[in-house]
Amino acid sequence: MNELELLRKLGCAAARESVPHVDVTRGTMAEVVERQIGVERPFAWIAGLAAAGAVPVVILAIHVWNDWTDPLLLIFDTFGGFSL
Amino acid sequence: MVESALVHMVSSVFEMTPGTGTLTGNGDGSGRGDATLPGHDAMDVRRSLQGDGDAYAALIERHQAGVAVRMWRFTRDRTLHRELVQEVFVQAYLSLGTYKGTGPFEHWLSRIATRVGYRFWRKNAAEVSMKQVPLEEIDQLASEPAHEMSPDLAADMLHRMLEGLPPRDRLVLVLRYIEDRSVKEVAALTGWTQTMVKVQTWRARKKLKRLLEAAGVEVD
Repeated sequence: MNELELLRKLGCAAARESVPHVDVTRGTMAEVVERQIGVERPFAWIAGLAAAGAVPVVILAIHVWNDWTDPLLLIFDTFGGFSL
Repeated sequence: MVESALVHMVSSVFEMTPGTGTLTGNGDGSGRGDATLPGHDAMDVRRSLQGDGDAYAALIERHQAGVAVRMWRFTRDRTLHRELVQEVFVQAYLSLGTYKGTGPFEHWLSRIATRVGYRFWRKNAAEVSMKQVPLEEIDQLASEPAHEMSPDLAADMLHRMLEGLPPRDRLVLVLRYIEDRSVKEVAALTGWTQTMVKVQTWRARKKLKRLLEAAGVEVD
């Protein structure tokens, strides 16, 4: 008997073996959710840091805008001659 | 209850990732694959891509028995077997967008299963060496006709025998001679060229012969 005949013979007999029953529906769903969250976690960190960095910029921008558009300054500018 | 909650969570994950891919272009049912796919699979793949967790659960339920049979060839450990089957479906979900729908879903799943199994073998290859394979009973077993052999014993022996070979050789022997697939089919499943499959088969046979001889088994 050569190696192929032996392999085929064993394969043929092994094919009659009963395969363990598995139900992976729930496990797969849970794993998919976990991996998806894992994929998104780094992006959440980046988004958080970007938001934290944006806060002082926004505050500064509001201050500058308020200074530029201060109603008193506008009135003084309109009538001229006064400056604070 | 728990299951429906999970399915809901998955649905929301699906919704978070719109456009994980398309079934023949846009998933709107106008794709060329629809004509060649079995109806249920085509519909469930399309619905899964649109964010329906129940549809993916239905795909798993329909195909898990077939995948379980395939993955049982890669391990004899029940826990690992279960993990491998699950990994196949996780990988299938993650690459569902690459499914073109030009052939049956089952064939596409087979390719993923082969890849997952092969990766598993490669990961564990270092733990097994040719010296560790006990094949004492093989001569006695080989003298019996195939239909009289104990299936469990034959499967166990087959697995131990193949464990002594490198993963590539194991894979090609299983696909060619246990699953009785053509060179073309093996090439499609593994992503190798047909020439490579032929060369790999030839090498694997030689190594198997050497392995058997080293174990004291008489081979022609």
